[in-house]
Amino acid sequence: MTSEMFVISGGGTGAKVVEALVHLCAAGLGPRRLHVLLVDSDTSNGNLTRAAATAKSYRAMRRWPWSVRAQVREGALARFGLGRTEVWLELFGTELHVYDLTEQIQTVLNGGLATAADSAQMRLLLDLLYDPSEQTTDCSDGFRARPNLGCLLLADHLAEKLPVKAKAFLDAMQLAARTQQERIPVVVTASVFGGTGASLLPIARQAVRGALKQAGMERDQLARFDWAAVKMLPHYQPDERQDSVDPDRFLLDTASALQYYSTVYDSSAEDARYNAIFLVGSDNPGRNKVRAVLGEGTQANPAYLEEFVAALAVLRFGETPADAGTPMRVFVPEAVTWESLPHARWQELRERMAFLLHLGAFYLRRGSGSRDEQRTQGVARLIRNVDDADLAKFPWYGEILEPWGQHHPAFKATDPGRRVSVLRNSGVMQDLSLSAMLSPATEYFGRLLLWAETALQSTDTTFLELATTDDYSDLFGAMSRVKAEEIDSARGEGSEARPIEPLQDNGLVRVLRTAITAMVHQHRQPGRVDRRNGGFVLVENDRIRLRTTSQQTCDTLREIEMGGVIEEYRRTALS
Amino acid sequence: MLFHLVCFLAFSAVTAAAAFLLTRGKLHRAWNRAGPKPIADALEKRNRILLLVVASILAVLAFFEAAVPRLAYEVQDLQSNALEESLPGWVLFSVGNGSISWMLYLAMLGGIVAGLLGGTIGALRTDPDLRRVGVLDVI
Repeated sequence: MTSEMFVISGGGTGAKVVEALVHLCAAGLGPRRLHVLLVDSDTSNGNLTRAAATAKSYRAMRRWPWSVRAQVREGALARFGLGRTEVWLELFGTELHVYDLTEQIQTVLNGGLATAADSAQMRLLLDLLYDPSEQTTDCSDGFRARPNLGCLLLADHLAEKLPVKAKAFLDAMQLAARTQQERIPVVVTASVFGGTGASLLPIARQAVRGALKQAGMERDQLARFDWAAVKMLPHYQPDERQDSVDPDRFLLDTASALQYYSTVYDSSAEDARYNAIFLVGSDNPGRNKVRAVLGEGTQANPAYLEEFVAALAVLRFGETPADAGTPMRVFVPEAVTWESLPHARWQELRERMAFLLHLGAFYLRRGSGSRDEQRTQGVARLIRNVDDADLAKFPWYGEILEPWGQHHPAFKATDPGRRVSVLRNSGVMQDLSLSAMLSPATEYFGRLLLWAETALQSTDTTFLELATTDDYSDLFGAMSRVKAEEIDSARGEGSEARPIEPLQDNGLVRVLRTAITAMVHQHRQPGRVDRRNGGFVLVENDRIRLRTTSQQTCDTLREIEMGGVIEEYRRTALS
Repeated sequence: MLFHLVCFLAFSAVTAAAAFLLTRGKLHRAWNRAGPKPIADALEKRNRILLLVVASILAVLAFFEAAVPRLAYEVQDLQSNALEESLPGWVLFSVGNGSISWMLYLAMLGGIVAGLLGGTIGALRTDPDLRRVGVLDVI
């Protein structure tokens, strides 16, 4: 994977691709550094705010170390205690920077296109090309599937605002061009059938290059950027027409837009073209029906598989440079399987996503409130609800938390019988405490599972299954065999291991790293732990079978007063 | 003395085997999803009740031995015949109207306590999640 990558997303669909990309980064599949610029004129687009909130939540998680070095015994000699290997796994490994350019467009704020008619001929031309509502719209909720309007306004808007409002993004590009020796992938992603995104696609490269040139970037540095576009074709369908957003026109608009883009790329200057283009679509957009709403916070559609595929295409371009000799390739799989996804190592993709999703489910699972079924609870509930004495009896408390807590003066000075209470108390151990990370972790994992529920599970394609017949009680048993040394190292910039500073760590994150290590043990070496409740299985029949339900995720979110997050994923969903 | 040692070991072995099987069965069924502390608490309760019952039975036996001389003589004979002739009588019995074979009862009770703890802890050690449950937690 490349070390640094830039992504520019346009409109709500572009933001949803970014959302999927953030989760892929959380699974440890992203580049080392990822810069994302969210572009929209719909300042309160629900999809955009959700992507931004997911990224923020990701960053709260990434603040802590997520590397594990699991010791497993593999191969024929494993049963004799030989064949020991180290398995490195790092979640939240990507340094993610998110910038936004979500200003409303000045021209339209001043009264719309109508104000540009300074002569009778111009008025006639405007009347020919734009209807009255288009001429006066303030575009506060985007271009409403009218790229004819968007293109006209967005180019000027970007030229004006990029150097000011997205200066940090441009600075990061400049720094990368100065310091990186390798190619620097830049991907623009948006929908072809919408308004803002479709308007951005033909002008993004030229606008950014123009801004970089204006900032004084040399030609050879500009040439280091390798540009691609990931374009989303219609993959969902509003249930009815709303204003200019007409689902019946999506395919027609898409065909026209693609035709238009091809003429732009053929006729425009080289710096407007993309070196690679990925198109992601659906054979049946009607499969993903949404309630028709326009802009504002209400436009928050469920996540879809196509956006996940688009995010994988973004990462694929990060790994594989564009080759001018590559012919157009079309993939129309009969069924979408892990193998058919655009990722060079699909087994790794499946495994990493499974580790992350199981961790989320293991964290958020509610389980039974009964004391006799403590191990059916998820980590969040266990940490919040069980008595101090109960928590202290878990072996991972003695192996992973107590020796680590000794590095903190307040913990060390406390009577051993009261240490669990100190460890839980953010007033004493502050950021290092178990409770300090409860809310951020609940929010991130809640978002992950709510996203995955629709992105990885549909009527035709099922990568994910939610079930309650089993629980994660065996995983608690496996956690009891994890050694502190397995979670106390991180991989540096190179590949050498370095110890994690105890005071740069958090108690809850240590518990979750222990859970990941236990999953690696169980996955790679299933005989290691006595299976009483069916054992932990990472992937069953190509499906990631999470031992929780959507209801449990929502209940845990509500319990930690994050019920609002649920609404962000279901506002326009149609059952 | 050997008789009492054998008695201790026999009761210990039988109780240990019973406690091991009983505990392991519970771990696999009723407690297969419980946390370590609730398991320890349940075992503590169970073991205390068991020991209370055993101690009560032995106390009743001792009472009958003291109250019914004929029963006491029978028990004395049993111990004397079982290689205890070399030991002075007070080691074996406290003499009353009848007597109390306290050494025998102590060996039995000790064996049951040791067996119960050994069997319980042995069963707990088969589950890595119960590693931190100690002897004092289950008695």
